[in-house]
This record gives sequence, C-alpha cells and structure tokens, in this order.
Amino acid sequence: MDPELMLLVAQSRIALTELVEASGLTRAELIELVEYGAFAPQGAAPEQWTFPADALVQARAAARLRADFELEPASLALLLAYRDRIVELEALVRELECQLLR
Amino acid sequence: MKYKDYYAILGVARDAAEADIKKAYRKLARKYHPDVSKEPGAEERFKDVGEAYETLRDKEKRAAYDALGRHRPGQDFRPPPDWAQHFGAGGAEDLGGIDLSDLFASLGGGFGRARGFRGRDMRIPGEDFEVTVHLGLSEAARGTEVALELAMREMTSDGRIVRTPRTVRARIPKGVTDGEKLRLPGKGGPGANGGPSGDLYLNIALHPHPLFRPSGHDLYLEVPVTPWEAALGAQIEIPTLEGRLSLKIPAGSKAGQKLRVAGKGLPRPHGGAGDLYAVLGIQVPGTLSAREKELFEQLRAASGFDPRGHFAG
Repeated sequence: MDPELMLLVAQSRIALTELVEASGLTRAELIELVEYGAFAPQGAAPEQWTFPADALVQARAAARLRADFELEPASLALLLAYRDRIVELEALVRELECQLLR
Repeated sequence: MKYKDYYAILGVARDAAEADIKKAYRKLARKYHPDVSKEPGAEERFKDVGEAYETLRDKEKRAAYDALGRHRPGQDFRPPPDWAQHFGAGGAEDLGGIDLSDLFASLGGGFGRARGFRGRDMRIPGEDFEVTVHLGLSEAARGTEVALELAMREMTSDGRIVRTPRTVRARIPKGVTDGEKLRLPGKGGPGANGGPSGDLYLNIALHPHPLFRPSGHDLYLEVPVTPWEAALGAQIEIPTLEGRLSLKIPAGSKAGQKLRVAGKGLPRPHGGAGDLYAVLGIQVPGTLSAREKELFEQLRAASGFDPRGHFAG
C-alpha cells in the first residue's frame, strides 16, 4: 500500500502524538478522554500508547463536537460512547439488511 | 463577492444579544451538525450556520460584518472604501474573487475547525479536506485512482486569502469497503508561513450493485432456487466478482438459508478476502402449466409434511 496513505481501520496502530497532530484535540484533552474511557490505547504510559487507526475518525469527530457544541471532556466522552454504539448498531442493521430476501 | 445574511442564516434579528445568537446557533447545530444529523444537505447547511456563528459571536468580526451594510443574500457587493483598512484586512482592497468566509478568516481570531489562516507571521497549518468518494464494487475490489477537484485556500503575498482550484490525485488501494476512511497526510490545503500542509480524508461509499450487497468485506447474493431444487438438492451456477462458480444446494434447504463460499467476497487490503454468502430464496412459477399443476396436486396428496405443526396445541 502507498506509504503516504493510511487506511483508518482497527488493524493499523497510531501513536498519541500522531492522534494529537491529526485530530485537532490537544494531548491533555486526549489523555482526559482516555481517563474517561472514550479511547482505550495499548501501552502503559502516554509515551507508549498506541491507538487503533480508526480512533482518528472518532477523535476528529470529538474535536468537531467539542468545538461546535463547546463540550467539556466528561460530556464529550459520554457522547462518544453513544456515537460508538450508534456506529455499531448501524453496521449491524446494514449486515442484517444484506441478509434479507427482497 | 457574494453577500451572505448571517443573521438570517441563524434566524436572529440584527440587534440580537450574544446569548440569543449562541442559543440560535446551538439549536441549528443540534439539527444540522454532520456528526449528529441525518438530514439531507445537513453538512452544507451546517457550514453556513458555523460560518455565521464564527463571525457573529466575535464582537470585532460582527462589527466588521455589520459595516458591510445590508444586501440581498447572493448579491454581488463591495465593502465600503475604507472598510479593509478600518477592520485590519490590509491588502484586501480587491475582493472580487473571494468568499465572504475567507474574508473573515483573514481578519484573525481563528476560523473554527477549518484550521484556517490566523495571522501573517505564525506557522499556519493548511486546511484539512474530507471528501466522499463513490466507487463501484469492482473498483473497490481491484483498487483505482481518483482525481478530486478541491478549492484550496491560499494566502497571496499581500496577505489575502483566495480559493484556488487544485486537482489532487489519490490512489485507492484494493480492498477498501463501504464506510471506510483513508487519510492522505499532506494532501490537503497548503500551509502558510512554513506551516505544514493539511490532510485529505476520503470516505469510501460503494455504489449499490444490482446483485451483490456488501457488508464489510463479505458479499451477500440472493440466489433464487425452485422448490424442487431446495427439496432435492442441486448443483447450480452463481456469479461472483471474478466469474461464475458452481454451488451445491443441499437437499432440504430453506428460504433465507445462507450458504458460505469462503474467500469470494471483497479482497482485504492486507491479504485474504471476505466471504460470499448465497442467501436462498425459494421461488414458485407465477403461472403453472397443466402438467406442473397436476404434479403439485399429486405432491400435496402424497406428502405428510406440515410446516405449521408447531401451531397446534
């Protein structure tokens, strides 16, 4: 695959610095969101943290929602949990629709 | 330059208090925010709402906007002669080709999430772009290249912001699927004063296919079979993305039953492929010939099969 191109899927990993740079969230905001459970990195400390690459999609949405609704991190974490659930349910609905006879 | 009525976009009076502007913005943001709304055209509408709020929430920008005077939305207009000097938009005397939002972005004070230009001396990152790319299933399976026309913000040597059309080519790797996103670092808008270029994000959307329905990298294919094929079993031919293959229908198959054909779905980017699921649908002839009718009647008389036996008692 083109090294200049990243497919934002769970199988690829990105570091905290990259997530900060690309998402528009600050390092402190991301660390707080991790504390609230909105993101679940692998690694013991922020310097070693890696995130699934699709966390960038969620983090960019978080940056937009934070800015556009002036949300503080705890509310943002709650909203992201609901958003995650909606994404999962939409994927399930799509899969079930595929299995229906027309 | 085309006029936009920011007050009308937010649905507030021109003398609205800051709190009312904020409240109106929040109501509209709740309705049209692209991360929340499913309404068609919500994203475009939210851009206008966000642009209006970014300007009217800031006292200086609001004063500068008010000083432009009142015009009809979409009307071509020019700011008053001393407007640019008065509001710190130096170098903005010739405003013919620029967008109202870019004009206010050049006044400083930030431009929301667009990561726009904020001044003349600091390193300013370029704008990120997010574009939906529509692909056919075959294109997604084998990979393709797309050319995207993007209107990129650029700062001129005299500090003005202009939109310049640019063509960006992006190679889509094989194996992307519906709803996936790609990031192309540095392929967004150019930075200013040595700032890095923005990124380009591609949202993959697959065109509906007349036969195959994708779910992740798996494909679903509705396969109609006759009642006797379902009852007796059969060897039939089905299409795949790579040509036809032979599929064994087991005796005693039911409508809605899924038969998995391993590895015949969409390829995965890092190797392997999803599966193809044949979903069986049992079809009966719309009109029976005399002979068919006779045979079905014989079957009815001979068969003890009761699919509704579990309703009894």
